[in-house]
Amino acid sequence: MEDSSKTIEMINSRFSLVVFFSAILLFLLSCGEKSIEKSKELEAASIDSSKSTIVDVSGELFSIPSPIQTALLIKNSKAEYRPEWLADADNYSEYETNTQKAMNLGVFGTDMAYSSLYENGQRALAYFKALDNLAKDLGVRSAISPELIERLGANAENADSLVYLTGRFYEEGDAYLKKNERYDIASLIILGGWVESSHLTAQSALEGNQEAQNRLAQQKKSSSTLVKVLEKTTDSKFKKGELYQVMDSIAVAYASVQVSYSFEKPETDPSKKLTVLKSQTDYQVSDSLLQSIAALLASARAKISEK
Amino acid sequence: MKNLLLVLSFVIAASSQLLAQCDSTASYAQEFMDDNFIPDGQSYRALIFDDQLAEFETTFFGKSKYRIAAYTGMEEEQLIFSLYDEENNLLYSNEKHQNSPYWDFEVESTLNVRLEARLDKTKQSSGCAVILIGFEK
Repeated sequence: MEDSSKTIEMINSRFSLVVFFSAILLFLLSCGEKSIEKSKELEAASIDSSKSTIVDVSGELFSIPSPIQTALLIKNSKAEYRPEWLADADNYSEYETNTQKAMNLGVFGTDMAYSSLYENGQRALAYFKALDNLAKDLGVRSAISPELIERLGANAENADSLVYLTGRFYEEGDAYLKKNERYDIASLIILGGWVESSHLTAQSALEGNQEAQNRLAQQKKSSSTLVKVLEKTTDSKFKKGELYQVMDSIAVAYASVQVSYSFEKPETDPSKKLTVLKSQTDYQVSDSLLQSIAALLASARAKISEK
Repeated sequence: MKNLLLVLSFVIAASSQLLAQCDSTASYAQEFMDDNFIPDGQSYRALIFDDQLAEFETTFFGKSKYRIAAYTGMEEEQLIFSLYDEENNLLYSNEKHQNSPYWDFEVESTLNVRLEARLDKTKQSSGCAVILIGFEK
């Protein structure tokens, strides 16, 4: 996997413009008559098809598991609702920079889903209002369908609908930001959501919630992916800031989580369009490491929420 | 110089068209992500050509069910997507299932996966690939 990441990075950094323009030209050719032969110039400019390459809209594709899924795990583990762990929705008006707004857009969405899952509709609605205002400030809201916004506001007390709609909200916002090459903002929203959901998981883990402990350890891959994403940010102020350093420290701490993996052949049922992935992964994390990760996450969360 | 400007104008117009195509493709892909699956909140879109791969890594959590919808262009079954584990074992490919535009995955134990998507060259030589991931509540 590391090799493929390096390949993508290399292509993105050195050849992306050439590849992009040549690829566009190839696309145009394909739209025309197939019988038209490529000119020698185009052939020279075309990419080496023997290599696995990627030309994408957003620079590099990456994926961070949904913070809503983590909120669901906490709820399903029978842990109690802990409003004192959550961010203060009233703070939204005090965030001035786009960096603050983007990160807290991620935080508030996570807290909205978490509160709704615990049937605290009033609190979920407060987070929705904060989220809606931050989305407006960042110029994202206009890209979200009005019907979706309306349904979100109306379903604050209906957890089933709200978690689905929240996922759609972030997906539409993410697509809009990447289409408009606002990758930094898209990444910061994801960062805020990941830190908040991991912080909630860590707090629950510290209280002895075994499922939360396991989930916290399973975020190892995400922590390193996030750092790679943040490395690409063009926001030099952010990169010089303490939060950036803390995120790096989190990934370093996660490197000590021991993982053992054993492959098992998957089982596929074509009639159900379903594959059961049967491989097994075991994560080992000591109590002291868990406490270190939890402390770092608390620090990251505090920095994100700073006014 | 004149020719260069002409080509650049052409390229700019074409890239706008491609980006617009991404939105249409995304709405087709969305049709396969029914309400039982909560979107993961991210947009995975890539312009791919010929043999190129769009790929990314993610974590699938244990005791969860995921749906992956993958689409390119305006018609079904033009995009091949495959899932690999960290040891590069092939876990699934829709190529063996008529390039099915979606597939569900039940995950017994958390695992890191790599998702690769490429065009079915017999049907398409370029396009915007859209991948959606949802998880069941």
